[in-house]
Amino acid sequence: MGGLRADMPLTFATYAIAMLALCGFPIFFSGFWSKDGILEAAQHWSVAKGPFYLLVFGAVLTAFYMMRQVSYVFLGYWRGRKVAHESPAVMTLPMTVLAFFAMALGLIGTPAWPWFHAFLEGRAATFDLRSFAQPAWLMLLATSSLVVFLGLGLGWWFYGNKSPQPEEPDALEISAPWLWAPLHDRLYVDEFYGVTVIAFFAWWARVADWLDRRVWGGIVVAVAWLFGLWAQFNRFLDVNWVDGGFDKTCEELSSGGGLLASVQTGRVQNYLRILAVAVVALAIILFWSSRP
Amino acid sequence: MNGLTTGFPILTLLTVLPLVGAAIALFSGKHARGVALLTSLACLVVALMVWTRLPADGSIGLVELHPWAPSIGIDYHLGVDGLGALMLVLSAIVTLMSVDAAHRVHHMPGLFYGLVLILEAGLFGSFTALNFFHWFLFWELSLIPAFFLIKLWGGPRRGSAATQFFIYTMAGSVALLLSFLAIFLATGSMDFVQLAAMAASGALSQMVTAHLGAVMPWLAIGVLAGFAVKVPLVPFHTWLPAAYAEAPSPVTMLLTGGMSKMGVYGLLRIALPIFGVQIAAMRTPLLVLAVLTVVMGAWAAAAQKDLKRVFAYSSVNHLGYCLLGIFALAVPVYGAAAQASQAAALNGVILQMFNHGITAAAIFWFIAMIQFRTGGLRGIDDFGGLRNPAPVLTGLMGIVLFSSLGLPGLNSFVSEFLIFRGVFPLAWVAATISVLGLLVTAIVILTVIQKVFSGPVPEHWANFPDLHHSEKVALAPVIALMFIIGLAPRLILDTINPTVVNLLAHWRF
Amino acid sequence: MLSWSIYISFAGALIAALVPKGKPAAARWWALAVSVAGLVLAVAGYAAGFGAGREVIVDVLWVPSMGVHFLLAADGISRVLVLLTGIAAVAGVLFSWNVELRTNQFFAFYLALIGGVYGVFLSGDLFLLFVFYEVAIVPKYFLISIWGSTRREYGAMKLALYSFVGSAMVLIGLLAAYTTAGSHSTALADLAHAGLPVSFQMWCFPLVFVGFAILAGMWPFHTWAPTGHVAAPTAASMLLAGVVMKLGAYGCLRVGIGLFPHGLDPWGFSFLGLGSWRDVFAWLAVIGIVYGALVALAQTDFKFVIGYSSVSHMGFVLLGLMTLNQIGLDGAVLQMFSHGVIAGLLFAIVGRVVYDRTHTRQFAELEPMHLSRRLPFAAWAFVVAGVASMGLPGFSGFVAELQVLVGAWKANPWWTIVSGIGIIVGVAYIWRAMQKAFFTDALPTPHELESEQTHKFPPITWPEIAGVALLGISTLVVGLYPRILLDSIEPAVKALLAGGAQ
Repeated sequence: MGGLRADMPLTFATYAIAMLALCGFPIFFSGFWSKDGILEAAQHWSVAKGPFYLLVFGAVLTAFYMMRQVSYVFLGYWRGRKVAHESPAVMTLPMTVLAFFAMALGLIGTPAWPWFHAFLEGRAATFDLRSFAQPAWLMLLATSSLVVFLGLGLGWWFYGNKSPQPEEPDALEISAPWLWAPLHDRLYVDEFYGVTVIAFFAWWARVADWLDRRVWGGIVVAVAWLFGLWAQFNRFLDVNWVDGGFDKTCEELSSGGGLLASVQTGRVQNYLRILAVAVVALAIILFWSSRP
Repeated sequence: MNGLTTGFPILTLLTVLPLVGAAIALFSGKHARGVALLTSLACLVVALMVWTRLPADGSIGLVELHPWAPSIGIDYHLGVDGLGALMLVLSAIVTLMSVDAAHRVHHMPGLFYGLVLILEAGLFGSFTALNFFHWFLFWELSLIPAFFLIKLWGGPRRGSAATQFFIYTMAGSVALLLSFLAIFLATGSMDFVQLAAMAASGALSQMVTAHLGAVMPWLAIGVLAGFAVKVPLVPFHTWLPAAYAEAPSPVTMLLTGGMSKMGVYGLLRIALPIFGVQIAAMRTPLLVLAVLTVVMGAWAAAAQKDLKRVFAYSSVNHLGYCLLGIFALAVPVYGAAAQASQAAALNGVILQMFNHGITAAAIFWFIAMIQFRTGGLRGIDDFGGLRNPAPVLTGLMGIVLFSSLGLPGLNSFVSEFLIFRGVFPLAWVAATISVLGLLVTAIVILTVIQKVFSGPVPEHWANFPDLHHSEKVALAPVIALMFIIGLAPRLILDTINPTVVNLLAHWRF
Repeated sequence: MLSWSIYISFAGALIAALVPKGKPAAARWWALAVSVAGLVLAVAGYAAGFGAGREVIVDVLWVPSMGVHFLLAADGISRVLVLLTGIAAVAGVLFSWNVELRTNQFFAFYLALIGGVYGVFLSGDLFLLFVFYEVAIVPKYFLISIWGSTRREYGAMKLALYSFVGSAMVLIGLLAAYTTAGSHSTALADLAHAGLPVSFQMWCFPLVFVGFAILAGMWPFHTWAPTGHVAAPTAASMLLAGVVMKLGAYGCLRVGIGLFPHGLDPWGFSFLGLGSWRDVFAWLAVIGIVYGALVALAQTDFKFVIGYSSVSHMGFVLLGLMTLNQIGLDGAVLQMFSHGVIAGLLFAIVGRVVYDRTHTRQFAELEPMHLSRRLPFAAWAFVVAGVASMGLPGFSGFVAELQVLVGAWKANPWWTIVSGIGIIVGVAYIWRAMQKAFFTDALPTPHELESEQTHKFPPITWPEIAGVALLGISTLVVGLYPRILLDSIEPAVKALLAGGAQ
């Protein structure tokens, strides 16, 4: 982009007002009064002074990067491909209204007329210009303003009206590449997230899936398999032992019967043989028992 | 005991209606869907009539009581309070949605719609029963149509999914049965109302101890086992992802919208009233399991590549919130603040049952539509940029997905909020860890939206058809309902709250 | 009136034998008429005696010198079992409609068997009971060995041997009891009040109980059952599992527990945790429940699954008998009825509807046949029979098992818990059999589709539909309104328990 100050003047004007309000440009812009109130609170925080200094630093940076951005977009000359033109009234009118309030709303934040502060505390607001006169407060006023001017000035010094081509490196990159690289990579916060939170999340997802399929599911499968095994064992038991036992007994009985049956041959010679043996045995017994 | 029926036996009518419809549908061939639509519409009307006729004080109304086989404690005892009536309305809505979503069933449609209607009857029966025999009859009976619906129309691994679902649930049911038989032995009663009164007065544990010794904790575990498999409670849930994934999507709608609620309902109607003291004693391990269900359910969803499995695990997660609420409130409390927390948790649980029912059913409905348009595809990586060719589908499915996520303004937010509102004061550790579930669910759902709807459109999806007019008409009431409940939950809570107060007053921990 | 069921069965058997060989239709219609008449008499007798106590039907002195009476009596239990026999008899005839080989002899033996069974259930005299009991065994042997299928001679012989061993044991007990009681009378009522000494009962009870329990399929004397059922033709296996096994259980109840109640008293010492015959037989029953279910789970032959399931379900009957409380015994009798009907239905489907068409019972061969499409009647009838068998509420089996389990809780909680495992395995084996036989996941290959066209199954005949309807409705009605039987059973059991306490 670049040079839109000429092509889109109304947009530039309202944007500039908004940008200055955002940076906290003194007195006429609302952002100044709200930032000032916060800086005052931080300055008087009894616990530590660190936040105050960081806030001041943040204000410098804000002015710096907003100046950079305005230079790239509105200052210098047009580097785009097509022709830029102003927005229609349906957009510029609301922008104007908003720009007006970006300046005017500061009024309800000034110490001269602490309307909002009084509203929050539930008391009436009085318009008193003397509240401007406290020295400590004036000191803070000066500091805030200085900070903004410092940031804006630095931004102008680096970027100003220059319009580098897209492929050229950034002005800050040229002068302080060691600073530029981590800033460009967003202080590696996304990578940090990727390695910690997101990796943790993905890992837990895999763990949950594994637990489900292998552990809980595995136990169920194991139980079913065990029952199947038990069933096969019982079947084996039934066929071979219980049933087989009965069949075996029947076989034994039949063969036993066969054995007994073999005594009944029906052949007279066998019976006579048995008779003879029996008579001899009987004779021996009688003889033996009749001995004195 | 004399018979007693307060007015027209509307609950019996409600249970019989789908059975009649099923009998007609079985022989209607290609008109079976029409029969099923008419029947489920009629059931919805009757269910809404039941909803409007509840007693204002939250007690059980529309009672039908007739002796059936007194020597074994069996009576024909039906009745509903706010909880039961809400479940009836939910079942009717979900069945209607399911029948509408099933317009692509061409293989044996008569049998399909007949089974769906029998399943609906099973749902109605178990939500209105107040005697164990009647309740158990419908509890087990509903498994048969569910099994065949998965087995005969399901995906490639339907046999093992359906069998595991059936046998696992039956195993839990046997434990439940044995425990209840012991209770019957000690008290001579199978009536839920009587047994709850006996438990509240302490007479129940006295009787059981006199007859069987100190077995009440074991009986409680047996009863919980049956519900743990059905709801499900991690780690007894492994049947669910396979069953939900392999079932045809209209059947999955029924499984997640209706059948899962049978388990939660059983916990509220049977387990807590009768075994409140025992559950309170086991509260910590139960809370651990509930938290596991919430958290691991959500995280396992994050690891899935199949859309149906993603939302199967998501269902486990959402039902986990119900379990969290139920177990958290099972603690003796003193003071109005704690009682208010209990009431908030219970209101949240009941509302969550309803909300999850319609939201999950709607999600699977959309998955069914996507599957039809893509020839059966449902992998999370199979799509992309569908927002461009199908903006209406994207928009409406987006609403439903955000409802599942718990976005304020939609229905699930109210119930999840109430549950956490109730659980935080009662069990802050469990509540804190469970918030992870909310976070992970959000990530899962946003990932689904991103992968399916955002990004560049692949060539082959450039002509992805958007919703037809008939589909929009069918979906509109459901989506409107999500907004209505999200913005004006009073419509349901005003009827449930008296029931909640009534229930809590009679429960003893 | 009930006694006429016995007479017409035997008379019918005689006339059936006289039907000329070439007219099978005449034989089967005659058998149907006789069995329906028996059923009608059973129903009428049941209705007439509903709520009444024990009534003596016939009492004629038979052998005066020994005190043997031809005594027929019926109480609630008998009436219920007579009703069961009537239903099973009609169903059996319907499912034997396609018997072509020596039809007249088939139905002659069949009706003789039925007559014997009626006789056992109605006998009030121990000797008479024994006579009818033995009479029932002989036709069984012939039915299996002539008209059976797999290893029929072996199966028939095995069944006969087991039965006779059991009968021998019973006979010894019977004679011992008769003599110990003074040799006056063999009437059951007289023997029950004879004041048999406790020490006598302690050894006589297990003898008689085991003798009858063999026929009831108690583990470990059960192995005749699977072999016999598989070998038997459809009607015979229906009757075998449905009614004949109940003869054993009835004998256990009426004779064993009725005459020797003190045989169940504690011994005074404990051996392996068992302190009485009651403990021993209860645990054998529980083992039978779980064991039978597990073995059924491991079978590759469809009919073997049902055979072992009979062993498992009879375990519930025996367990119920051993609870010795009102509700347990109620459950045992109800389970006798329930299992009789359900087993009949299962065997009918497996044997008549499936096997007679597919000529195979091996799951491996049935799976590719996709029977859910080709025989939907069989598939869905089996679903109904299967869920009834696994004890789903709404069917008679659930109420019976409920009562037995409550009775078992009362007696010994461990019996209940172990039986619970048996119930879960019961679900598993039925579901496995159902899926393997009828509902495979695989889609038919072109080759299979082709063979389907060339080998079409004969259509389902009206007797099959009528039989399935009869049995299915019986189990459903009792399951939904159990009072229809319980109101008869409960007073009879109460009287038995009271009379047993001498």
